[in-house]
Amino acid sequence: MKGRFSDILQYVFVIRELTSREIKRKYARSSLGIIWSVLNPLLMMVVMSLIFSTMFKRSIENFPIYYLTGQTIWGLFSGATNSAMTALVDNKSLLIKAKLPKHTFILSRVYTALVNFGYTCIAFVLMLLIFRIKFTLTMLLFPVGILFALIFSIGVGYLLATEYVFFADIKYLYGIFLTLLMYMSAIFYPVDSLPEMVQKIVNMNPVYLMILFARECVMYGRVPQGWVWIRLGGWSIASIVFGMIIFRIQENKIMQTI
Amino acid sequence: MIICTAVCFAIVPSTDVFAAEAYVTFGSESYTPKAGKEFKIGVYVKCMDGVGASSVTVGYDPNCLEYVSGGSGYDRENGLVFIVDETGNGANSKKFMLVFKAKTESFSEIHAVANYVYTYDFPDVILEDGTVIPCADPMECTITGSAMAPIMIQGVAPKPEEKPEDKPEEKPDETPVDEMDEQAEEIIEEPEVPEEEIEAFTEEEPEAAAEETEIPGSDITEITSPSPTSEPETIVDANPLYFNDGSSEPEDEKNLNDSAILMGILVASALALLFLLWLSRDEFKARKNEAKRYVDSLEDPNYEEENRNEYVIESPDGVKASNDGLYTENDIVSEISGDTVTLTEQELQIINMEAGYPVDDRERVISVKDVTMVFHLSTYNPSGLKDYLIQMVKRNISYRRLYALYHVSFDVYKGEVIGIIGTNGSGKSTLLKIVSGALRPTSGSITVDRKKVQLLTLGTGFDMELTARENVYLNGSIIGYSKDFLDKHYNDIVKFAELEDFMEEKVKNFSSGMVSRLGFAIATAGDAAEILILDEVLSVGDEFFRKKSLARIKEMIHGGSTVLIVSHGMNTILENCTRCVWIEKGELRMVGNPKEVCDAYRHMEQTDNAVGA
Repeated sequence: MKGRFSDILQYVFVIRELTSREIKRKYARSSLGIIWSVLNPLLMMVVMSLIFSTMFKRSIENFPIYYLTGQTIWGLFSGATNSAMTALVDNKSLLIKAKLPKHTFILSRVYTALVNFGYTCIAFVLMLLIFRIKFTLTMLLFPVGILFALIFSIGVGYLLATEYVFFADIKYLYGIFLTLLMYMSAIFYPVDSLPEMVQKIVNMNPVYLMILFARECVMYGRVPQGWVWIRLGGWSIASIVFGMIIFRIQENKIMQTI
Repeated sequence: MIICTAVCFAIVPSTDVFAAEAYVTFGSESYTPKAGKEFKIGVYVKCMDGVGASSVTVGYDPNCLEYVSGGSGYDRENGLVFIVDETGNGANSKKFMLVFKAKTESFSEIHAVANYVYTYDFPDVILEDGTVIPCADPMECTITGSAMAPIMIQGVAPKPEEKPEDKPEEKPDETPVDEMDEQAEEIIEEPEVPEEEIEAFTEEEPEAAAEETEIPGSDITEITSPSPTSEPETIVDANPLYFNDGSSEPEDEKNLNDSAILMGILVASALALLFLLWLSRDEFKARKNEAKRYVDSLEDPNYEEENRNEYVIESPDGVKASNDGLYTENDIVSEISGDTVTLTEQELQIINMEAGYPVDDRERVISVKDVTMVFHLSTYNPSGLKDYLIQMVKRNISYRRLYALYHVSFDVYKGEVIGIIGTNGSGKSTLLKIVSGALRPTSGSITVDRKKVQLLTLGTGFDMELTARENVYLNGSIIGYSKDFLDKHYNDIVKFAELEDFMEEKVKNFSSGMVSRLGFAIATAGDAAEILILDEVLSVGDEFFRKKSLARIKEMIHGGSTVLIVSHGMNTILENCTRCVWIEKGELRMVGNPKEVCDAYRHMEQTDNAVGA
């Protein structure tokens, strides 16, 4: 090892290899393979549009895009956190034997979700073209929103992965929590239709903020409002700092318990 | 004079109130005016957001009542009064007084249909998307008459929780203090009921009439009509609305309650989770303390005494007496005193000199000092959270401390090949993990340049679903090879593993021998690291491959690496090692010449077997 830089390069390589393993593995037995990452959100979009678009005809224009924006970002978040949660336990043997930083496994899971998201984005862009959403400069802000989402997911991932080692039930609890969070994220309904109290809560929901951010800059061609930036940034930083601290504190205990 | 009690029901189904928290109520639940007299009914439009413009239509039974004044428009034929008002100034409620005349004494309903309230602040929003908030419960129609045989108009009280304090008229229950009632009673004094009208009424409402006729002229008339089945069409029209809205309100309330309950559940479970996490923290702390206490107890001389005795008794015969003594002393000294290092070093130097190695000029690359590793194993495996909690409360859950390593100290010098032997579960792998840095010891320290350490294990990170080629890259990256390196050495790896035709196969189709060959080839592809740790690497594959792999290992050893070998194969140890460490049940039994240590190890095995037999 020549130094820190080559170390980092090595970690990047490892993360990429682990990620490619995850993806290959995920679709190992399906014949369409990675295409499902594109197809799945599209089909979901069709189904949801069929069900809900008439219901919210008046309040949401372009329901399919509205839904797809929400769904892709939701998929990124839930996929990243859910898989990061089991990252340490799943890679138990590697963790003990290989001389890798434990971060690698969690990061690779989040990266896997990001790659998946990348494929989903193919579907997304396709739909943008089909529904003739005009290109606006604000669309360039979309990756920034994704960055927020990633940072937030990494933080949550650290927290979950650490706790999962000691308390496996958290998996089920988190599943329920995710469901709650999903319905609080206004993925397929307009926020305005909620009572004011609930709206306030939804407006604090980081996942909703990510989705709002994306919708603002992609669908409506607006730069997201200041409070969205502030809250989203706050959530992301808080999450990653908190996650890292917990992870650091528990690091040695993880190795003993695992 | 026949006095019949006629009752008016004022039913207030606020049909469509297009504002948040808006409703329409009447001043009182019931009115008991005297026939032929005028009386006033207060209509209140209320809205939490402030009443702006409002439009209320009040329906009444034109057979029983006659509209006099108060509204902005009327339809006497159908019994409708329109109140359209745009003067609302944002106050919470707006009051309108309607004056009616009682034609006859009968049951009658007054009801509000088609109410629209626009909040003061946002006059546009509400019509479009406003939530429809129903007004009030359908009420049981209890009519209380007076001596004067009044007409009762039973209104619907506002919801108690929404009742503004500044409105004394708004009562959930019928109260005599009611302003409107008083007004009504003041006005209506002489009950004069034309007979024909009563007859007409009785025809249509035989039941009610029967009831009424029972009590003509009585001072107090109390009629309970279970259903407001009165004749006017408008009321029938209003009924569906009435029921819809009336039923939706309690539902709304229920929803509120439900969500409160749900929130309660959520909060409770979150608290429970936090509590559990906190508990596990606590437990961990307790365990930590235990471990500390245990370590402390080691300094108790009595304990050491026992330990020594045990050691001496169990010490194998095949070892030179002097060595034996030294080790023992070493162990004890290292555990009792703080200056472990020097003593251990001295000891090792003596050992090494005896073994024929020059000591002083060699560099120490691994130094294991007084390492203790404690694992906590739960003695009871709860089947679930509930069980866990129950057992925890009963204090049935305890933890067994497992000393995977117990005050182990030894040094490794550059260029040595150290064999580590011991029965299964004796702590060999734990030791390697500590050396390689994967674990941190509970106590004691270890000095080694982790950058130089390479732990070779077979098939680390092999994924059965991937092809052999993909696994080479995955496994290689985990071991620490760069992409360039793997690209360069890929062919060598394949060649060494003799798997040229299988690289695009999925590893799950490989035989275990093939997997370990591939694993070995990847593991040893690189330039030998300065410190190599081989964990059971040499006991895989067929005879030919084993020879080949041994040759590869020897090559690496000659390349100047320091090697730690864990193996159950005595021959491997005997053939390759310059020194041997024997760990038994976490304790360091012996360090020294491989032959002697192996003999002692075998001897123990034999005696163990003999005892067992």
